Amino acid sequence: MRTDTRERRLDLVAFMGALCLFFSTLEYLFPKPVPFFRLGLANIPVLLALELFSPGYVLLLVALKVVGQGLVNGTLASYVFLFSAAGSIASALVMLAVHRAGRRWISLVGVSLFGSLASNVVQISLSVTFIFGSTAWVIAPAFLGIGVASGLVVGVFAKRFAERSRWFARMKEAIGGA
Amino acid sequence: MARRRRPRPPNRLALHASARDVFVCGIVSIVAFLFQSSIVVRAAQVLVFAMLATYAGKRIRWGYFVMIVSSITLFNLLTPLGRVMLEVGPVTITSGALEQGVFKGLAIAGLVFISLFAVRPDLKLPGSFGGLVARVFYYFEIVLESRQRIRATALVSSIDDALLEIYPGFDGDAAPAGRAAPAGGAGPAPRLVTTTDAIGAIMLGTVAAANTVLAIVF
Amino acid sequence: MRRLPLSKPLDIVALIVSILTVVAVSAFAFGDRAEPDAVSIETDDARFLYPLDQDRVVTVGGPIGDTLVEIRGGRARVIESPCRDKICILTGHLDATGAWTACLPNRIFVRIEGGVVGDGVDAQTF
Repeated sequence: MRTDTRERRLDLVAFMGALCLFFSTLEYLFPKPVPFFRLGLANIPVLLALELFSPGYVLLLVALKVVGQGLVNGTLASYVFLFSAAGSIASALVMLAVHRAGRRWISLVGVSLFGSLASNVVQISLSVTFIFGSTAWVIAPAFLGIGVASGLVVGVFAKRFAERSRWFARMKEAIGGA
Repeated sequence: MARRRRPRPPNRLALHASARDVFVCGIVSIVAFLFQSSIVVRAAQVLVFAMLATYAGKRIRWGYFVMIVSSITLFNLLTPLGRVMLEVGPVTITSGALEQGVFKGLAIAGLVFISLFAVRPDLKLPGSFGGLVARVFYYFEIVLESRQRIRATALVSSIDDALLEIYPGFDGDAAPAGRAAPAGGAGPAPRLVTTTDAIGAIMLGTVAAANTVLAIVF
Repeated sequence: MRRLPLSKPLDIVALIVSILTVVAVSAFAFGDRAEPDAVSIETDDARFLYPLDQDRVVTVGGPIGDTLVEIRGGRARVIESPCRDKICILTGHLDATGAWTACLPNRIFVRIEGGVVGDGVDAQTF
C-alpha cells in the first residue's frame, strides 16, 4: 500500500534522525585538536540516507537533524543554529547533486568530501561576515584543511558501513531504495 | 567506548516553568538584549543569562566562551579605530576597536546563553514536523540506551548488531516490529513540568521585564 | 580483495577539488590583500586611528579649540578648525598614503597611513 510505504519511510527517517543525534553525542568523546572543530560524525546517517531515500526524504532528515541538535544542545534560538542549518542544507544539496550526477563514478567518500567542503565554506563565510570580520580570513585555510580530512574520515566510514552492514541492507530492501 | 559521560545536572528551571513559557521568555530576552547599547549593562546581562543557563542544568564551557569573546576582540583590533592606547611593534590597540570587539563578543556569548536556558528538548514544535521531531527524540532515548554496546575495536559490526536489535525492520505493518512509535509528542522526560507555577512565572516575568526596561533606559 | 577508499574516479576529483579550494582560500587569505589605509590624527598628547573606508566625522581637541576631520568616500579632510589661517582646510582632500595636513596653531597633524607605501597607487585590484 502506498501510505504504508510512506509511513515506513517517515519512521525510518525519524530513526535515522535519532542516529544523527547519537553520533553528535559520540563526538564529545573525542578530544578536540582545535576549538570550534567538529568531526562531522552526524553526517554519517545523512550519507547513508542518500542511498536509501529520494531527495525529499533526505532533506527532511537534514531538517530533523539540525532542529534535533538545536533542541538537545539548546542552541535552537541562537546564531549557532542558523550557521549549522545553513551549512547542513548547503552540504545536503551538494551531496544530493553529486550523488545523483556522479552515479557509478562516485562513492560515498567523494560525496562526503564535497558535502563537508560545502558546509565548511558556508559556515566559514558566515562567521567571517557576521562575527569575526574580514581580517579573520587568515584562519580559514586551517579550518578548511581540517574539514577536508574529517570529510574523508567520515566518508570512508560511511562507505564501509554501507558495504558491510546487514541492517543497512535490510532497510534498503524494506523500503525499496531511493 | 568505555568512557561514560558525566550525568547532566538537573534542569531546576524546568521544575517551575513549561517549555513553551521559557522559550517565550527567551525570545523576549533576545530582542531586548540586542537593543542594549551600554557595554556595562550588556556584560551584566551576559552574567545573568549564564546563571540562568546553569540553573537550567546546562554546563557552560567557560573556556570556549573566553575563546570566542577574545578571538572576536582580537580580530576587531586588527582594524584600528579610535584613540591609540598601546603600540607594541606591529600591534596597535585602539580604544574604539577594543570596545567594539568586546561588545560584539558579549553579544554572541549572551545569545548562546539565552538559547541554552530557553530551549529544551520537550519544547513542542507545531505541525506534523513537530510530531516527527518528537519521534526522533523517542528513538534517540532508545539508541542512547544501547550506547555501551559499541566497541571501538569492532566499530562497524558492533553498531550493526545494535541497530539490528533496536530497529529490526518492518513486520508487515508500518511500525517497526515489537514497538509502537509514539503518535505525537509523548515526551520522554518525566521530571519536566508542563505548566508554569508561581515561582516560574515570577522568575520568567522578572527576566523578560528587566531586560526590556534596560533596553529602553540605556 | 581490499578496495581502496578512493576507488571511484570522481572520488579522486573530489579530493583534488577540496585541496584546490584550500589552496585558493589560502591564496586569498594570505595574498596581497593590502591593509586598508588608515587616517592618523595626532594631537599633543594622543594619537587616533580611523579606517579610511568608513565614513565618519572626528572631533579632536587642541589647545585653541576643536578641529573636525571628515572621512568620507575613501578621502579625508579638515572641515572645521579654530585657527586663523585655515591652511589645514585649504589643503583639501587627502587620499594617498603619506598625504598629510596640519593645523599648527591647534597642534593637530592628519596623515594617511598604511596600505602600500610608494607611488600611491592602490594595490587593491580586486
